[in-house]
Amino acid sequence: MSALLQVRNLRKSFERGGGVFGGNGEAERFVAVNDVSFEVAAGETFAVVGESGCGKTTLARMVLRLVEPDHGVLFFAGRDLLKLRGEELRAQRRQMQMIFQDPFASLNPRMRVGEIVAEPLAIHEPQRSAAERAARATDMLRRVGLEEASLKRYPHEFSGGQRQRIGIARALILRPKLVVADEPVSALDVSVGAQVLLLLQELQREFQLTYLFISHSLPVVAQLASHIAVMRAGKLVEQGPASQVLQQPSESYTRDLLAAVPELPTQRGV
Amino acid sequence: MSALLELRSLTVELPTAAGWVKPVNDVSLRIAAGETLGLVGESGSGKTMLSLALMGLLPAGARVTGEARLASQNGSAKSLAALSEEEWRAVRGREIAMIFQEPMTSLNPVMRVGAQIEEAILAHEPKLGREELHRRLLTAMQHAAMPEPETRAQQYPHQLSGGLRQRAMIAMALAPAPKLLIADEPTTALDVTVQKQILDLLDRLRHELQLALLFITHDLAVVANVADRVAVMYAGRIVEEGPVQTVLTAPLHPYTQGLLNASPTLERRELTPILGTVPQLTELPPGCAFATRCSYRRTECEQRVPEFRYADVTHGARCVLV
Repeated sequence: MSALLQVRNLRKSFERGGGVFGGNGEAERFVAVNDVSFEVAAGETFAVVGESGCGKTTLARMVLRLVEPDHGVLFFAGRDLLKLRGEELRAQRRQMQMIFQDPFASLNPRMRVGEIVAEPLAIHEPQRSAAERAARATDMLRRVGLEEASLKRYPHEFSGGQRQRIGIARALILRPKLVVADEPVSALDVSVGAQVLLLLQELQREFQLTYLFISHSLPVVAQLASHIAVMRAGKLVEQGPASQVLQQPSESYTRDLLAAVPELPTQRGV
Repeated sequence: MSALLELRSLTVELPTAAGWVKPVNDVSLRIAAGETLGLVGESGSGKTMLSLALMGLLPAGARVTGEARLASQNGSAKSLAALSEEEWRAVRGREIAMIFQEPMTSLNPVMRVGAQIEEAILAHEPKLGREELHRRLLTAMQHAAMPEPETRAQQYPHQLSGGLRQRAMIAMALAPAPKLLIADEPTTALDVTVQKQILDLLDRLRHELQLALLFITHDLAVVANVADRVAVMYAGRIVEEGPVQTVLTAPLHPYTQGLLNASPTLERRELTPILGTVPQLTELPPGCAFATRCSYRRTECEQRVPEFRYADVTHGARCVLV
């Protein structure tokens, strides 16, 4: 099994304070991601779990090169991502897409759903005709469980779960290899969240996707991760196969996290 | 056990462009002192509107029918639906208090935490002297298990962590010694380790202070760990109610079963989502609101709303299967 994504000693620090109230001269920096290394194999779901402020979102953004690391190495499909510039980086980016947490904030309210889903095509494959793009968008929407009529409608006409499906269709229309999903079900109701998790699993099989799955929720991660890395204060404190991390955690922090998860009583069924 | 709060067919109607809707529809519930009732529902189920009705905070134009009775010290009961705004001021905060999901938006960002808690105390006892007020402030903060209360009282909300902010909200809510505490998703915005601390705190407080706790959440696992009894709400109605262990291990209503099957757990299992979506309140069918998503649907389900029937003395559901 070859690694699709290799991350070595990645680090990102931010200036503390700053802004209008900052500027007291302290040069102390806040290290959001500290010396993080991991590998994601093609076709697997690699989950990073951690509590708020642990640096998991900054890590995800660095992988997509939306945030520049201080230093470290980032290889994607054998290419050194941090060396890519301009056109090369753009070409590489279509292989890596993101699904966001908040389905309300991540869709442009003034664009029709058809335009939203087709927009990545317009950027990366401008040679295609509008009709071709619309056809691809329709296909993709159908694939995520939305009707063709959705094309002409605006985001506000959809529920949270449907909007998340629109976000997924937009992320997948370029047929990326890697999808970074940052808390994709956290804002959704339980019944709808389960629909989206199952959809992500189906799409993974169908399109041979590799997921980097960012979440605060161990139960959610337990449903679909093949590997789990536990992040705390910028560092990965433990990583390994999902079953091992969940059932035989080696770090006391992982054990604390697991112990704090409220559990359902065992069901007897209807 | 006598009820501290008793709702009988409580209904809240709101005017919309498409006519009157009932976000709270024929709800009957009781909570005793020292008891936690979990109220479970997804977005749009009406659980928040129900809590606003109990706080006298319904939007203008809302119509309330049915009964909501709160027991008083002298053994009589107060009818909440009949209170004037003047009378609500003596009940809201004083007898029934509420904490919310996001403590940061409920706290005043430019006021020290201690002063905000004092304000909550003074609102109901304006004549307290300075020393007595300070003593009450410290008691409230100790109830909420805030470490270093003297220091914390001098800090502003942004200087506190999410967990401490929620503790400050709890201190503020409990300072006037209410009998009923409504907690609306109080731990949803918190990390799981902090959530556990807050759940443990609320559980200890309701025993120590003999509080009746109405705990509103979408999370069945949280309810399993905090509630004695649970009521499941769907499209404005209570569709199932009973002891928490019974409801979660042997649910009667297909919606409750569906929620359980859709809840991720630490053990990997086949999740089964509930198909379809919650119906709009303006487009409710004449029968059971869950019928279109239900795999046990019968013809009668589509004709009229099923009655609430009991499978045993404490556990019942609004379903033809019971």
